[in-house]
Amino acid sequence: MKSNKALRLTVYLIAIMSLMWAASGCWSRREIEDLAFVMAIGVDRSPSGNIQMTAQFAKPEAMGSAEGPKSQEKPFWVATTEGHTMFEAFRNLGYISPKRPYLPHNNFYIFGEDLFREMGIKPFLDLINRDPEPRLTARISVVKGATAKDLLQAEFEGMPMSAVALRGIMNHLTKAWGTIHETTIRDFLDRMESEGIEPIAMGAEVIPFEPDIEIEGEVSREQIKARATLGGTAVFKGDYLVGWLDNFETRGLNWILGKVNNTVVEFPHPGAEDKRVSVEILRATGSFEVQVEDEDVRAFIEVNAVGNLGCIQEPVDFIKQPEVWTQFEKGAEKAIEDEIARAVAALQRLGSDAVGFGQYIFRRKPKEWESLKHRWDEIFPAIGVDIDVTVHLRGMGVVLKSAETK
Amino acid sequence: MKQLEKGRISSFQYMCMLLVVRITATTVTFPFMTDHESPTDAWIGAAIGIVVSLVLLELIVRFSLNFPNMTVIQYSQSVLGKFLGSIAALLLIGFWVFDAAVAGRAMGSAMVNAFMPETPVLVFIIVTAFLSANGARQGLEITARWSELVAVGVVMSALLLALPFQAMNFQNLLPILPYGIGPHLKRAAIIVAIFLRYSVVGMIVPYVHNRKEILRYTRIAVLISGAVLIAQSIVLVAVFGARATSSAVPTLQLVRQITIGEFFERIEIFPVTLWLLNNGVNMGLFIWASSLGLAQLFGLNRFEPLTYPIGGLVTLLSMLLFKNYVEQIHYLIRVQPIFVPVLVLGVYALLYAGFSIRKLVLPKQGNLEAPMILEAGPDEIE
Repeated sequence: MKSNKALRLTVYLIAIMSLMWAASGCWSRREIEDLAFVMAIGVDRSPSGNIQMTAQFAKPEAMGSAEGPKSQEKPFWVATTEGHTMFEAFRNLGYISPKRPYLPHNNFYIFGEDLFREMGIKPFLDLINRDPEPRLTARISVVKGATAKDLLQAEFEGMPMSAVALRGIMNHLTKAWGTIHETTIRDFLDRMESEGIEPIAMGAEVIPFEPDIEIEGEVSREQIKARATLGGTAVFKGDYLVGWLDNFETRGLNWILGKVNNTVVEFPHPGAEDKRVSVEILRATGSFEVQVEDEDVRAFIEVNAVGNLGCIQEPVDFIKQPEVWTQFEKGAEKAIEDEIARAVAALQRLGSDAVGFGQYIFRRKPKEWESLKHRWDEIFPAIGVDIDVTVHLRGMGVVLKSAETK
Repeated sequence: MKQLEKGRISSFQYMCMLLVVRITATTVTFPFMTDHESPTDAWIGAAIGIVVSLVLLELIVRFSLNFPNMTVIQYSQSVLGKFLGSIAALLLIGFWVFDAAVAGRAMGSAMVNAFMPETPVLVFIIVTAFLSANGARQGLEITARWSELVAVGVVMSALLLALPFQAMNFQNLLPILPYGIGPHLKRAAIIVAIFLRYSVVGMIVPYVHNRKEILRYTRIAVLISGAVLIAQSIVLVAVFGARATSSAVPTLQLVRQITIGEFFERIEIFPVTLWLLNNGVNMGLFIWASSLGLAQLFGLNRFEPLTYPIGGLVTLLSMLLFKNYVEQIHYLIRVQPIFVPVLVLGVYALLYAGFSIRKLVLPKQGNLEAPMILEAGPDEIE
């Protein structure tokens, strides 16, 4: 009995002691003081042909607090490294950053145009996909005609944290213009791996900034060198970037995909030459069908939009001339139709099925897609498109008649 | 016969245990999704697998109810005789130990892959195995009550499936059956293999308080977990589209997609906590079943001293089974759907054959412990 007790005690002691390592905290612990939060990652091709990675880190000490004066310092800093692979380049940031670069809070992956045109996308996305740290909800964007490094050094007024500001512009454009197609890494990978649809990514541009007025008085910080904006769409085919859609072609694509929320459509005034009309579209739905009949592929695009009159350059008395209202609706329909036609034509010219006509066939008629998909590169540029747009204008703002000169 | 386990559990606890036992095995790696063509309509494969599992488990449970006071280890010997019966029992016990090890490793490597890459996988397994063996040592009731608690979490976490609604696109579910039924049969085999871990009911049945309800609760457990499985495969495809097959930890990736108002995000800690708890129940149940089975097989007086060694065995096995993640996923996708059904169904088929022959040849000798029950249907058993 006594020895039994002693044995028990020993076993318990060993068990408890073996758990002591747990008291020191968990194995892969990360303390917030030791982390450098990456807000955006830019990837370019370095002059020597390697991968050049630019990371934008948050500088929390410069963000200021509720009390005390607002800091004049930039709340971010940028570091650039090189490496043979994305992983190596990212680790190399450790040579520059005293804190451990930490990816989970990253919002943006920005790539230089040259990179995707020359090296394709596969070498760059695997790390983002494979590593547990990056989030797939981060956005992907391609810089047009400049490097991602330039873009990440751009600054914004009002929102000093530039990755956050980019997100602000993105949200605003998505909600109020529809001229970008908000693309997360997940969307991008999904399009890459799906049958009959090609990936697209948001376009970004650097705006060189040269102040034209003399700033007088005390300038307590260095001047802004460049600004940046988002807009347009980078179009891919297979592994490579093949071209761009401009802002309105992007909106054309978004009409088809039903991604336009609120936007402004502009068209010539039906009653006066050289004058124009703007209407505000409040909501829109878009859908398309693809019909296959013995090698003949046709697409039918249908868009329904509801909006208000935004502004007119030549006054109209709608009580006396109610038919002008219908002409406005027709004008808006025509403008949207043109945009859609331009978008489809641009994609057909680039040979990239970013709308997903092929995917439509694959989803509805997988057997037919089997026979079509090998020749899709020839079929897609020749697809005939029927566009049917209906616009209903509802309100006219808070005036009945515009102010007129008497 | 000496009673080794004195606990009694309710039929609701029985159902909770079944529910919880399945969750880790499927949701961590979600193996039936991977590898095969046509991810878009994976739910068809899941549905086929669930129907087949339902039938198989109905048979297994009905058969076990022929011996309401005996565990499968005990009646295997009275049905098949000393030699064959011991082999059948050892095969089952071996399978339970093995399966607990596989599930433990799956959970451990998911933690390592997704959260703590520097931590050795052994750490997660050894902690779980130690605590589970501790629970198993106290008898079935502990694990059963524990599973009741965890089952609440499981049901609540099923609600998480609805949260990535912003990212869902149900068009992704098309096309249906583009490659025919073939890939779905392979998927169904994986599901059946996972549900056959329920062969452990052979050990639990004698300790359930109200045996009339066992059949009903088994069906409910299979149907609930089947519904979760189907819902999950639909949501995964709706969110990830064609990429649903390419993730090593799809459930975790799914939860990572949840963003509500750009504020409520990064909540993957919920499913992970749940997995750890699930895995504790899972290991606890299998360690308990194996220890009790071994004790009954070799006529020991107590089963408790066996729990720690078996816990250690589970830990070692889970470390030694797979050298790396490739081997592990290969087992889950390619080996498991053949190996597990052959083993479990083989043993039960053998038992059933022996039982039928005895019933035909020796109808009146009373060789079995409860000969009265032989004629009675399972519903009349009290």
